Amino acid sequence: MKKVLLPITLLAAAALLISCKSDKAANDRPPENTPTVTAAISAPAGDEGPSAQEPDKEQKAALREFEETTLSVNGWEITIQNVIRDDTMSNVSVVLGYTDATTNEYEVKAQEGHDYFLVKMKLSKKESKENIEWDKMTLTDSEGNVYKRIDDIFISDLGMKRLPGTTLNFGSNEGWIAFEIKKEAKGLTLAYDFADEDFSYSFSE
Amino acid sequence: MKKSIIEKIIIAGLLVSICLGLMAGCSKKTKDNTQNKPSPAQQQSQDISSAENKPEEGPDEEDSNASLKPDQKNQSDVEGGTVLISNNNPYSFTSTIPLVDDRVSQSYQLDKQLESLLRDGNYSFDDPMVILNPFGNSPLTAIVLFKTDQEYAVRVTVKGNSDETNVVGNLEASIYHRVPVIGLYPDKNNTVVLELIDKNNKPVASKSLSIQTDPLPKSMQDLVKVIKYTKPSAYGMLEVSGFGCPRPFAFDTEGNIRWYLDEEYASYGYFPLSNNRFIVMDKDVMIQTYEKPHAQQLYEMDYLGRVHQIYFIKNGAHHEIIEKTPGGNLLVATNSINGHVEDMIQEIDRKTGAIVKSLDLREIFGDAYVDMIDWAHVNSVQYIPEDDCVVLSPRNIHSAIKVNWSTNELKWIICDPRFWEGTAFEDKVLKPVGDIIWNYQQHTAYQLKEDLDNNPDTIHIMLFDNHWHGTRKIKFFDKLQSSFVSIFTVNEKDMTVSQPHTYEGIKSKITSNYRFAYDAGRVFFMGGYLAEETPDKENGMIYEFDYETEEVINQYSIKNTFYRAYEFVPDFSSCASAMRPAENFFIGTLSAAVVNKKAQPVPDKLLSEGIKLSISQQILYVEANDHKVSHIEFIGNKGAYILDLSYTGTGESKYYKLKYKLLAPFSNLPPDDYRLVITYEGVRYNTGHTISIKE
Repeated sequence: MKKVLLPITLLAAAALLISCKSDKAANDRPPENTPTVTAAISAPAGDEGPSAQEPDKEQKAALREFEETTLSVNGWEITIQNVIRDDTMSNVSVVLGYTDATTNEYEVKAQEGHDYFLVKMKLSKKESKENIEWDKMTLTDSEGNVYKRIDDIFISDLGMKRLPGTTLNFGSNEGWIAFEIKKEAKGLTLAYDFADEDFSYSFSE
Repeated sequence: MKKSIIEKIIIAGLLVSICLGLMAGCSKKTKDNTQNKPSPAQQQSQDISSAENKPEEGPDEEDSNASLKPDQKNQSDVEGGTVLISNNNPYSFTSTIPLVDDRVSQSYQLDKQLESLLRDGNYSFDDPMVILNPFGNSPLTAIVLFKTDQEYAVRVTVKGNSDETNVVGNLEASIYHRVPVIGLYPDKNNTVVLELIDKNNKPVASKSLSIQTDPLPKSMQDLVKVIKYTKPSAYGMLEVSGFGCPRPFAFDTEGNIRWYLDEEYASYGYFPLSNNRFIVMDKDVMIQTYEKPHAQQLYEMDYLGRVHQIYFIKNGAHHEIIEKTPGGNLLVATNSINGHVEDMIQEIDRKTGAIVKSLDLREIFGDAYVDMIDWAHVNSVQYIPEDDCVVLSPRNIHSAIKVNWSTNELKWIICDPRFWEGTAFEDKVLKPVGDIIWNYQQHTAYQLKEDLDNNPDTIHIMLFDNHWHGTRKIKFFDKLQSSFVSIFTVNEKDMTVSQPHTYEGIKSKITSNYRFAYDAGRVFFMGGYLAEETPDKENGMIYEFDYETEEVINQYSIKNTFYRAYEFVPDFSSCASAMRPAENFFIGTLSAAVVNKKAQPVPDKLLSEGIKLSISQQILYVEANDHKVSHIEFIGNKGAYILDLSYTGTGESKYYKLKYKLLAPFSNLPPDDYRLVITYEGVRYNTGHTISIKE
């Protein structure tokens, strides 16, 4: 399958490049980017909502380049937007005080020998009759270890938008969830057990 | 056997991408971010049309223009340097900058989905649809949807730990039921009881639901402690917000949080409105000043978290947002940014966002005490319709004042008379009758509507006397170690003042407010910023006093500082209604780019970092650190325009680490293709982005 995907991907990229190049030549202006899901999500305006924050600079440095992927499964549209893997999660936020701007620090550490694995997702209910129950979402490594979403309320305290830990049955839900995985865990796959179809997404190393 | 569909989807997606890419290439036209979708009001109109089985007609530009009011059509005036903001703009545009839906549109989309579920779903009283936190930002609320075969009223009860902490809502009779649930406990499987009530006001059916909620964020756990509880409170719940409590929350008389917004807002928290909504300020959208930045984008919200209206305040808002009269225009504490800050009050038209009136306190006091940038620090305003006056609390001159709103004439001052001795305002200071504890750096001075002494010649002013003189030192400070809620009785004819009551509490040096539950005979002291943290690490203190005896009945501590606290009265009826966005829900006045007669060419140097751009409606948001951006230029083929943000100089370095969004509206610009140039740290850069405004 990978052999099929690669040439198709290249062809798609080339087609898009041709389009942009033609336009650039015509207008003699910097290329006007076709709006992408990535751009829309990574560009918070005032109206995106004050709490829809990205991790701070330090955390961003830890982010790998990540390409969003959207899958439609069983009436849910699931977009994997980003991941962070680290044994320590910290946030340094600058808060406007009464007469100054203060810096608040918050840090959480994974248990010894473990990393946090945070996934940013968007789950939009379209035509599904099923709800998202977090117990049915698993992260599995190549050794067959299965991880469940942990008590990740700390995500809010990191200044990041957290996906509710309760059942999702409506609308569009965007935010981070956390797993705690073994330090040596590789070949991670996120999966959800819908009644009629499986959702699975493998993270690249 | 189930099968994975990922690979099929990826291939399909890529094939679509190829087709789209080739199509775009053939047309030699890059697809832009295009702002031409209908507003919620337009969408609502379409929805109604659709519901009535009329042919669906998409809104077109002609229709949009036709619906504009005259003042909105004049937005292309670029001479004045201000623009009236609207979601109904004469021109459409495309841009390379990412577009973001405004918050009203976001709420409305979700609300429509709820309405569809209610109308089209088969949810019954026995098997209703329960949606926790439907708008994503109010985690202790839910909506229950169901239909009944005949009209019933509904009573909803979130069961509390005691009868006093039950939260009960009553809804009007209907067949379609959209029941808001407000007041859930966090981290609990809550019991919620629904009752159908017939036209004889008798319950005919009852159903118990279980709703599990998430825990509170760690920073909100153990925020409230009951210090003293002797009698049922006059207020079932109290809302607390601002400063150390950036997420507004409400707690019950047992100290349990029963409502909060999972979003952080600017320092001044939540301002209640007469329509059972409230206003909060976006902490990420600010205007640069000489000192700290101030919020420019406000949201009118309800308790479910729906945003109904967005307001823009040209010079930034700070300590006060209050309706002039119930449902009427807004009075906003703002800044002159004319050498000074926190020194101006503006009246904002509630429907258009236009500035109806501005009052710079220098128009009252001339140069008296105008000796620092924040010389006045107005922290409250209230309009008195009976005599067309406003009562103001300019904290940094230790005075509560009354001013005629039409003429700006100063009527009187409540202040230690020694402060104004020898000035031109000496005779405006009310003369004390009896002993008075004077107010120093007070907050929230309001005139009471109640007649406390059966004397038609008197009025009553109530305020929170922080009793602090940290900002403006005075030689005659009495050094009392407490703060007070004080009631003053004023005889405006005799120009005298007496002080029938004071309610004494722990010293709260800044912020804070009071509330007066007259009918219940209670006074609330909301000490938001204790001068010293208590041994139990508390930074805020709330007392409920008996009005007559001045004794403390109940007392709660708050772990963090806060700005103000209010009675929390969620309105179930309005939360049960589908959204009806106003035709103009994105309103206000902002500084805008003006003709740049000395425009220079677009520089070659590209700005690669330091800013982040986005567009909502026809406002460009430029995110950067404080005072990094001094000019925003729109350079077109026919003309160039510039928004000069350099008038506050370099600001104060202690705020440089703050990052927020500056606003640059472009709805006033004539059609053209504009390239965006930004002066960042004193250097002009080409952002590489364009905005094309079309006829």
